Amino acid sequence: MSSEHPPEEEPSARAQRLAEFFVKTPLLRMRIERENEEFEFVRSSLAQARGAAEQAVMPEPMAERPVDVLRADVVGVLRFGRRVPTLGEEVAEERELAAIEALGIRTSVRARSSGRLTAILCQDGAAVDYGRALFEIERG
Amino acid sequence: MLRKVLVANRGEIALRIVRACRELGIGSVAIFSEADRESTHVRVADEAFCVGPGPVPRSYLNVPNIISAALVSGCDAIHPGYGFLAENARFAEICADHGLKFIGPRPEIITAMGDKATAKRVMAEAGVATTPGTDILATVELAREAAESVGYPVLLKATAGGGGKGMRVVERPEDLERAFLGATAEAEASFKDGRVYMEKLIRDPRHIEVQVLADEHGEVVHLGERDCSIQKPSHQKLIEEAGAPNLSNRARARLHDMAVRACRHVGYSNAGTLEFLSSGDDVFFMEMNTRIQVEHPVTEMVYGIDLVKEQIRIASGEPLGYTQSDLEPRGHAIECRINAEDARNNFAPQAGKLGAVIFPGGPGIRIDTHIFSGASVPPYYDSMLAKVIAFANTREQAIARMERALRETLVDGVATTTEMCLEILGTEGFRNGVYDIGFLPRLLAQRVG
Repeated sequence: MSSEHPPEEEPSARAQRLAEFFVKTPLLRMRIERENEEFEFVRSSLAQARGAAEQAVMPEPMAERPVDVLRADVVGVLRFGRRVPTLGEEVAEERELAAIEALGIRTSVRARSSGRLTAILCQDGAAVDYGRALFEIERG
Repeated sequence: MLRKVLVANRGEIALRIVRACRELGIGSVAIFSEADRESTHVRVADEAFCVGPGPVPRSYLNVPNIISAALVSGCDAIHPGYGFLAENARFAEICADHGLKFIGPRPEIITAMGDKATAKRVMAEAGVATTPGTDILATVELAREAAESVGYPVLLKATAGGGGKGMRVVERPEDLERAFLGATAEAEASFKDGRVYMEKLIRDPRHIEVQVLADEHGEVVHLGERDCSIQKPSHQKLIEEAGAPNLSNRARARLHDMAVRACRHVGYSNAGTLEFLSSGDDVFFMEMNTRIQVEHPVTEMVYGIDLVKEQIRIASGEPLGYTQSDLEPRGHAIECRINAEDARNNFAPQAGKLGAVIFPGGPGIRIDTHIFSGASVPPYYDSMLAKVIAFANTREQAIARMERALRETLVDGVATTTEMCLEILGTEGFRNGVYDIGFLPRLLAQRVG
């Protein structure tokens, strides 16, 4: 009979596991807080994060279906909309998935066509630069 | 001290600024265009933001993206380097509006010095010798009267000008009208400002400039002069040296004194350069560059001062901490610009992928470059690939060292100015330190002939 909770790992083993997870993500910073411990992982450069993003394992698009990659065309902070995009959901054409805030101006990031959201490549609140891939939509 | 600086530039100067930040313990944020994604400054900076595609107006002049990159990365200052936004007063104002320190002088100083006619008037007020000439000339008739008064030959110059645009030499009265109309039209097309003024033409002058540093507490020092007379026919510099050879002590002292006096008069702060035309013992103010210069390393070598670090310290509000009497030049330094240009084809710029790249080393050699084996040279930007700087106790030793260094230099894949520099170093005129701004154009004309 299995217990409800897995046995607790040593903090060092947990840190190692989280670090291995972090390097595979495109995140610049990851912070995890628990009752008696906290972990924070920070990348020293955006270039490294970009490299990780490019290598991150993302759901494979189906070969026969074209994929739209939505990219940032301004530098700013990415903010998801009130309706937070979720992986695998169907999105309608023109749906606003997020906005980039820069110098008090909000630039919408909208789906160019309807389809399935197959990749979310940036986190809410992340600093994004020009050309940064944000979402992938498999056209329906 | 500032905490984190966005470097609003590319190439060797971006790398130079990132290095200064690192040595000062300050964070650095690079910007880059899509064409510069693999560039060294992107790799070396603490963080990097792509600000647009290759063409300059959409990337390195994309002010909203640059300011936004500075803000989202938590910078408190922007270093503009040279070129691009370095002498854009509006950009300096926008930085201030967003709480970012612009590492350079105040916007109103940039505006005043950027307008050549205004700069000349301000310098004359400060007691600095300026070329005999006029203020803005509104009509051909006024230009004709002015030319009679100044005396032919004269030079018509665009007040917003640079790079020889909107400039005409007028030898005879019958050529004046055509030259005036041509200069105003060219200035209007190039700078959206067709206003021109007139100067007495100084034939075959030397181009000598004085480096200054001024803190925000009123202290001003000069760091000697540089001779930048080896210029391409397009008036772009190719070889510079510190100090200027065969300059009389009287002329040298006047240059230094005028530069410091001018800075005090306008309330200048940060690094700057006053450019003069020199003919015999006569020196005339030409223009002031309110930024770091490409050729700043030769001054650094003979004064032992890191000018980029000084810029950052000054922008942080720190006092210079030394006075003129603490500064003493030592030795001689020469800089050769290695450009991706075909010197045998009117210095046509080259672009493409580089093959093997090997730079020299050894005693007294400094290389400021962003390129490496296999790097791309995009077609969008200035063609300068590297600066080779040679330093030695004497000018003769510095020339020998530079020749040795250039012969070790290898940049495969594009034509470069390396051989042209070697040819110039080998001439009797250069070796004797007897040259003016017509030296290289005459050498090229002889070769064609």
